Amino acid sequence: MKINEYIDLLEGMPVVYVRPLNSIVISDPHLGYEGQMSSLGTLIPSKNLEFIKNIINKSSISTGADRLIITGDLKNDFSDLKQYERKEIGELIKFCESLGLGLSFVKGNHDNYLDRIKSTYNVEIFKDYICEKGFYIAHGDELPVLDADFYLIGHEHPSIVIYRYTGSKEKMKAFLYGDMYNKKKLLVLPAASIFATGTDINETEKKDLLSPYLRDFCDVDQLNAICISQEENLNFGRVKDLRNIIV
Amino acid sequence: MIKILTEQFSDKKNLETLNPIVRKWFVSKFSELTPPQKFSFKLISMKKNLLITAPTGSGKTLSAFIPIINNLTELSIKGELKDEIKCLYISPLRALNNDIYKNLISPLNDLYKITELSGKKNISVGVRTGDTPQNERRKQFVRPPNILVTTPESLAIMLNSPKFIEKFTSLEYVIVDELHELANSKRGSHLSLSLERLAESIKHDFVRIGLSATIHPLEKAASFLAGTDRDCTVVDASWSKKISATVTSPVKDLIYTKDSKIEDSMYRIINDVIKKNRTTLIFTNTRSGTERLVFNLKRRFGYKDEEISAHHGSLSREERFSVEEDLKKGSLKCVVSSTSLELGIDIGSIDNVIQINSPKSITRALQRIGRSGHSFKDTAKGQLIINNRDDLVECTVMLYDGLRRKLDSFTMPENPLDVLAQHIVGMALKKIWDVNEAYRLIRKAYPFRDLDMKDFLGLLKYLAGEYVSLQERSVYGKIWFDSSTKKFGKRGRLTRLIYYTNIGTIPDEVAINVYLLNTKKKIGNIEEEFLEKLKRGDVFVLGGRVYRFQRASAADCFVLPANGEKPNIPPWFSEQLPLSYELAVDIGRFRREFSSLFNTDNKNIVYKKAAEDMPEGVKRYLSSFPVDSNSKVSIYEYIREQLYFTKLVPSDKSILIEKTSYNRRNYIIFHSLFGRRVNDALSRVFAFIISDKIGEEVGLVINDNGFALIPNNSLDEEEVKAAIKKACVSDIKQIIDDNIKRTEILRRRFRHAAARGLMILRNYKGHRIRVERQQINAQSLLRIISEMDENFPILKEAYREIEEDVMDINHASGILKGIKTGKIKYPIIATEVPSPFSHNLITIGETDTVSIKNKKDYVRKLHKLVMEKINKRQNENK
Repeated sequence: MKINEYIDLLEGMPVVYVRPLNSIVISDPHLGYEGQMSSLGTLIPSKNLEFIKNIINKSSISTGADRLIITGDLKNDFSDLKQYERKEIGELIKFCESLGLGLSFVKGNHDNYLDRIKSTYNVEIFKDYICEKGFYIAHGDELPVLDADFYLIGHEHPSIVIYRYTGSKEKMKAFLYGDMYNKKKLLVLPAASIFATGTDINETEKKDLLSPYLRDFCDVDQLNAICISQEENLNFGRVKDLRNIIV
Repeated sequence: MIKILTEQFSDKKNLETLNPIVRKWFVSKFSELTPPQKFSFKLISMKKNLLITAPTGSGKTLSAFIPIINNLTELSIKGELKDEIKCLYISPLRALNNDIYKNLISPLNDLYKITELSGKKNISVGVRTGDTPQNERRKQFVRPPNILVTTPESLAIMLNSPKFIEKFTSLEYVIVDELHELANSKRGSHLSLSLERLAESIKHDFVRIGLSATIHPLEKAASFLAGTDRDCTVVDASWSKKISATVTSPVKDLIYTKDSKIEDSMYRIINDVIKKNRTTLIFTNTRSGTERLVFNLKRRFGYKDEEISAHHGSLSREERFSVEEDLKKGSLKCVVSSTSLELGIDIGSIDNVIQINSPKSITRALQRIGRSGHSFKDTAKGQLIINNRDDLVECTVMLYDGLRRKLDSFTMPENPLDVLAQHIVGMALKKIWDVNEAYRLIRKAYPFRDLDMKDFLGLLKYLAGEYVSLQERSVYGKIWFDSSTKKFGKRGRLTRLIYYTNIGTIPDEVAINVYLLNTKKKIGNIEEEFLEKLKRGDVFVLGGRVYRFQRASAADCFVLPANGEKPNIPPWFSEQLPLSYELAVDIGRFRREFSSLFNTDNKNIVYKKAAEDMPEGVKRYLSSFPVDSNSKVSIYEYIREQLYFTKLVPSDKSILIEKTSYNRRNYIIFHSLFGRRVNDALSRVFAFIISDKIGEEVGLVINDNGFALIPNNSLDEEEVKAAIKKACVSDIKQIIDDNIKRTEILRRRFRHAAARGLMILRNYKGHRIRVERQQINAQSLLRIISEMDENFPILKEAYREIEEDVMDINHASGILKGIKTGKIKYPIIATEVPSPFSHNLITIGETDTVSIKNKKDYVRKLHKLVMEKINKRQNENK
């Protein structure tokens, strides 16, 4: 789904293509989640990395992008760079190399100790943001420090939930897209991790949202929720209209 | 071979088996042998495997223990009684210590007062449960008791203790108490495997004695006790107590009498019974009903706190214990219970039992009524008081069957793979196994007699971690499995600890916190099972106030106050008992026989009060049923109304299908009287087929007497017929699998199965994993597993549990077969307003929705609905 002349939301995937940068962007893959769960007693087989590789592969082919930007929370554990995280990150880097994709990591709040991989791999790691050609790409846990035309963030893991009169409900990962107070554009990416189902934006009060972008820099109610379905994205309209809706 | 014995042995023959000293003591203590004892002394002395069913208060426990005590006393006299375990007594109840003291230690103390036994070694008794302190366990290790009292879970741990298992080498007897409580649950499946492993460990068999309340079928219960290929004798003394019981309707007309009047009359009847008797026991089906009844009896008739008490599962152990003590002392006039006093503990002398509303099963009705009467020689007296017409017909047939000793059968989980997974790990901890040797051992346990080799290998592969990559197996694998040599054994240093700390089959339940929406104000807790049934907008009562449900997360639920609104979800919603299949079929037959007595050809029906115009044939037919005259009139009117309304009465041989509408919604009502478990399965099959055909979702209402499909647009007769024909030739398991795939119940049951199957640990590395954490983990796990492999053993078990234990897919396919062969007809009619038989169904509101199978189509449809709604709202605002 093309949302303007620069940006494509790839159908059915939590992936953005930024045309002027010839880059695909994903956010919040949280690699190493399964390893962490296993160390806590739940044996979840590793599947997340395979899924992430799959969407990167598909979207790099369909767009012809030459670079992948991951805008934060590449890994899951705050307190350490765990062995299983290092392993999965290494595998992802090699995979991107094999596809001929350059790699840029922007650090998120989970990415402590990520710099340690620099000794092994030749990757760009940005502490706070990437700002190129008017696109400001950051994790979204801290306020922007530069002026730009277009802001891309992750961190919030947005999703939308729709309740039915019949009692069922459907929860979908969603992109949030619209204007900030300063008239610049904002795009919030859903989490790439298959394990992160997300925060139901239309059920959450503004003050309870995680990202200062959504709390202080825009009216989240005016953003459009573009939900990810199977093989396609559907624009469900403004968040405001999705609050307290039963169909 | 299972042999059911009806002929008792003479007292002489039984007493002859006892040593003269024990006999002398026994005769001096007891004036006669009770019915089960008239069989057991002789049979146990012959070392027969034995299942004894008998009512409480019939000396059941002693009937098993006396012959064993006799045997041990003889050893003691000869000086051959050593410190070794001779008898293992297993009970599912935690409050063992009290009971066993009364049942065992006090008679033993008594026996050893006899002069002939002075100076001889006493028979020692020890209790070992999760609560047994460490020093006590050590003592038991040094000097093992002759009779060891334990729970199924503690037995499983002892089995894996290499040193303690040696103490069982001389084991001769195993008593399984409360067998009816175990045979129908996974705790029982677990125990059945433990017993086989025990026999294998000590390299010899033992006498198995099962003690049970009324249970049916006896052959199956006996096989459960004895295992595959062992003989077992059954002694059915459950009918030794006479029963007198009736159904009572508080008023003549249950429809047009005001609720308050029905209630007044009901309380008057109850009060009369309480006043006439010394102690009355009242059963309601729910905890809230229990509380309400106690409150109202006190308010209406001025009973004091020390005269009437409640007894149910939500009360603390101390509170319950004090009520039990008061009962035994005979100081209470009346006690009201939900299910907790149904079985087990001896509660002294009850004169009369009252049951409010239908207990839903013949066996349960008899067990409850059987709690009255001072000894096995008295008559048990019971009264079933009902307040709606479906319950009335139900209870009438229930008592009719019960008094003729026709019972409904228990359901036993078949091949529960999660339980087996736990045991495989336990087995691997002990030695290296050959696959076939292990397979043979497991199939000796009756619940696993038909275990498929494929399923067994699937479990071995799962436990060996073959579902993850090679590198990860060291973390995931609990056993190693070599498919070329067909051997398996333990793996990993942590596995033993994981096994010990995660053993058992009872799942952790989540207490859901209820908060006022957008505040941190906590109002109380509800059960997870209750939350499962709530949908947005539902109104319910909590702590005496009314709230509207808004939304929920894993462990929290958010509500808004709804003062003055009428609750649509009763608090007992999740506690409802399902009607048993056998009873449902008999009610169907009753309807058929009864309605055939009417002459419906008469076109000029003059509507008269039923009491005046009841035909002779009907009167005669009803006279054989144990009901009062109010009830007879109500039954007659109910069936007559339906007959005049629809010309057809649904029965065991006819599922009447009624197309109708109510409150501007379309209903297709299936009057299928087969109980909720069967209807749950059947309704989903039909709803799924119809939803697939029309490309829209279909709402669903289910109860014991039928179910209704609620499509958005009305369907014609041909479409309904086509759906039924299709159901008859479909793989209904596949349909139901698809249907429950994304439901809360699958998530919950999967969590339970994953915990039992050691996939989600409840205790790990010395930490208890919070159940909320388990739940979040289970959701992630389920998502991955179901994408990976639909036949993954633990997932397969979650589906099996829902389809076979919660629903009843087997009888549901039987019904479809009946439809296919024409044995069950399905006439379709259209009515302008819902017929009398459908009223209870329509008023309960939707239970579930069967949604469109294709996710893409579903989301598109959702999108369309949302856009329409938003447009409509905006137009309204213009």
